[in-house]
Amino acid sequence: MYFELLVMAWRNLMRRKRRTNITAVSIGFAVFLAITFTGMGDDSYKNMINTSVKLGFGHVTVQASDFHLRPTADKYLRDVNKLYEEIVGQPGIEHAATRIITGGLVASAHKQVGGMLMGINVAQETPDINLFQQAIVAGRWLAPEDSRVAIIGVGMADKLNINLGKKLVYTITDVDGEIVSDVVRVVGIFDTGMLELDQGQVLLPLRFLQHTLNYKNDQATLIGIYIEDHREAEQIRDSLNESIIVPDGEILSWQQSQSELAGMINVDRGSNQILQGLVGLLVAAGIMNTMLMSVLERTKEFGVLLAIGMSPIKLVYLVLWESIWLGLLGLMLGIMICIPWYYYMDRVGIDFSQLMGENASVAGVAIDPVIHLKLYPETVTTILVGVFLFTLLASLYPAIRAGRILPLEALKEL
Amino acid sequence: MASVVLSVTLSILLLVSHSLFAQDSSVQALAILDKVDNLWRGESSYSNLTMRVKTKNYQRELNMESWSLGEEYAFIRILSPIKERGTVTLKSDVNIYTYLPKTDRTIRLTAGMMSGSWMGSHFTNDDLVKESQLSEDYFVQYEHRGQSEFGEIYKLTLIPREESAVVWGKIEIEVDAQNYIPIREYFYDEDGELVRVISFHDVKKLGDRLLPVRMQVVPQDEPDEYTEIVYRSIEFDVPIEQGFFSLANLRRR
Amino acid sequence: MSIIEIRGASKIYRQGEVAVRALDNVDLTIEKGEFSTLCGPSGSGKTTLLNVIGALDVPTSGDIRIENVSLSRLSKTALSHLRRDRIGFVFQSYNLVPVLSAYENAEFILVLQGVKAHERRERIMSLLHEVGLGKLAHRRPNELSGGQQQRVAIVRAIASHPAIVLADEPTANLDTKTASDLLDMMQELNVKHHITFLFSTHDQRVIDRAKRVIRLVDGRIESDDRY
Ligand SMILES: Nc1ncnc2c1ncn2[C@@H]1O[C@H](COP(=O)(O)OP(=O)(O)OP(=O)(O)O)[C@@H](O)[C@H]1O
Ligand SMILES: [Mg+2]
Repeated sequence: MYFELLVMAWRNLMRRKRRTNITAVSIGFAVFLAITFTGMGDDSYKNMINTSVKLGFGHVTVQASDFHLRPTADKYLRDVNKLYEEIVGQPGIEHAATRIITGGLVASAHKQVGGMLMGINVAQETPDINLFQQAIVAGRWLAPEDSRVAIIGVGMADKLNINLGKKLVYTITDVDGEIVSDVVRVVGIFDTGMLELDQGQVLLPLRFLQHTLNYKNDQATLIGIYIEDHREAEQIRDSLNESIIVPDGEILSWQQSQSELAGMINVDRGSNQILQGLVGLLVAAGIMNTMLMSVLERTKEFGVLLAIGMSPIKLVYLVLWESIWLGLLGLMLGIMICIPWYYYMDRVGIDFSQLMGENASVAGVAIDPVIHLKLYPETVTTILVGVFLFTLLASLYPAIRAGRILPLEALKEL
Repeated sequence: MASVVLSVTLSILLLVSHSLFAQDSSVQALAILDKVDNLWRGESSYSNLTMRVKTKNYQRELNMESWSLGEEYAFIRILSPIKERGTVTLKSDVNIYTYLPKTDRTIRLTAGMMSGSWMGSHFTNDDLVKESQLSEDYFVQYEHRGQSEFGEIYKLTLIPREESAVVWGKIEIEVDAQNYIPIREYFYDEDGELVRVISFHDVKKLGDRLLPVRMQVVPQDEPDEYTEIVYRSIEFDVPIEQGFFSLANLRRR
Repeated sequence: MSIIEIRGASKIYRQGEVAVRALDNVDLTIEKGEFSTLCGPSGSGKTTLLNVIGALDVPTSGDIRIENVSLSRLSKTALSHLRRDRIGFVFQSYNLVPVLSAYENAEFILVLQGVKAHERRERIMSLLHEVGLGKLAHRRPNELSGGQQQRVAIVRAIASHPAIVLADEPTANLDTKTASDLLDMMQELNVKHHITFLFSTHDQRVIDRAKRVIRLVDGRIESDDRY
């Protein structure tokens, strides 16, 4: 029985080709919009997250408890070298780096500016996990034997009116809460394109910063951990929590250590979803209208079918089958539009640099002005299933309406 | 040393002689610096002074009184204008505290706040802490003895040591050869560009010492701006104890 | 055994204050194999009577039995099944499902009944051949003439082996020749398969060929003649 209904439904749908096509195109368009909005969102979230984590904290952070809430030098991890070895041995971890992060004052003969100092162990850093290493535009990156040297951003070099080889005095609060100063020479300059970083970030050899802060060799602020997929951060955090012990410390996902970014992403994703929901409602209203029209104009036909003994529920199924076909057709169209679109977006993307202007950043994190689509298989499945269910849901009322047709009334219209 | 503001202003100038290298040419230079240094030397001091600040945007005048003990402690209280009366800056070793009577709150300046201007002047908070460490931070060279519009002068050049946490590339000091009173100090960056100039004026007898009672700081990138400090009175070796420079005392005064 | 037994059936339509008696105390019995015609002036209650018999409508009072089962006792679902299994319908027009071929239209009820595919095929094809549509089985209704469409409708009505075929003015939309051909065909089926027919008509020539003519006036049976 269902096979015949299914065939009949398909033929009914094809009876009004134009109307069906328009509706299917609108469903396809909904798929396209959802894929585009979600994919663009996910792409920019991925970029923002992957950029943000490269500023120091990592996807997962092993840190002294509460450091991210009150970043002071009296909060530090002990035994970081042993901890580091333990961490890199865990599954799912691509990279890790020991870092010291502390705020302070950076001065030249001309000016003094507030700055963020990051001590890094250059042996553990790679351009993949350190944004600044990617962005060196003058001088060099840190070397293992470096001691009294620093790398600063173009903005800071500008503000302080210094250049490569020149000295820089920083003042920070040490482990005991004392204000301490030290002098370093600039060996490299980076340009991340992010004003805040280029004007405020200083990179130093970990050893040297440990010395200034009166830290021991195995003390540091945190170990930043890098993983393949940022979405697995919480999972990795939990598994790390089970496998390693961090005395006086804690393990955070990027959502916790960079909560401002996470919050912003959530808000953006939420509004994106609301927008998509509205588009979905609009399309659903269109589908409902189409299906209702197609049911109403077939009242007589359905009346005959009911009169000759077709049960109302089968009529409901028939209309639902029509909407299933319509949904599938729409999805197919959507997929057909989306495949070339995806390839275009993947290779070329849309350049928003004109719109965003130079140095666009959100929550201190740069946005790539060229937007691509990042499609996770689950997202695509969710969108396809979601749009399909929307179609089905929108057809529910017309289908029930078909089942309620009274044959006698319908036949009167003969 | 004398009052804090003075010591701030002269921070680079006032070097501890024993810390310096005893090189041939610098022996004489050290001796000269030592004498300059002794001008303000005293275990403790109490002074009354006026600070004038002129910038593009505002002009202000503050009267204050100041106590100091050694190099580590200073207590500066604003007397007028009335609006700011009672505001105290306490320097205790490397920490600086500010007490605001209006809100009855004491703030301990963090490292990040050190770059802020002190009382709206051309000094930063950082200038107030740096001085005691700076005494060990320079090589001193004797340049020459010569003539200027002030008469006979000595000229000294101070080059920071590589590991000294000082921002300057070089400091030049002109000293009146007769009284060992500083005339001008030139602060350069590492490229040899002049960044600021401090000049000393109005030599007077205060108590038993001959001192320049007015000094002026001019930032070279804003030559129309300056901060000027004028001593109205100064007493050395006043009886004062370390307990005076405590947080508890901030409010009491 | 009589296929249909109607006892004291009345149908009253209320339109505001006015009550229209579409059927007025009708008694009627139809035996198996009969080929009967309902006639009467317009508004005399022919359609109403057929609808009541076909379980599409419920009489205001009176009892209707089909194969000795009283319709008033049946649930909606049971009535739906009764229509599917025991009654064949032929309507004046707009009879067939436009998206199904002649064959599929005829087959539809058998599908609903759950008859096996090969048996459906046998039954429908032989009937389509019998009515001269063997070669047009694959055509859609809009590719068939009115007469051909009605023949498909008749095949659909009889393929399920109903107790009775009810046809409301099946020839009204056909020209004289086609109408008489259709009538010939129905008569043939009546004779050959012993299928019971009850149909309404205005057409005097159709009335002339019927074996039994039931005449309605104002909802009452005025005459009931067998020839
Ligand atoms: N739903 C209804 N509401 C009110 N009156 C109705 C309704 N259906 C039928 N009638 C009335 O019942 C009477 C019988 O109508 P019916 O359709 O059975 O006549 P008919 O004999 O089939 O006429 P025709 O030859 O024109 O088809 C008519 O007077 C008609 O107006
Ligand atoms: Mg009628």
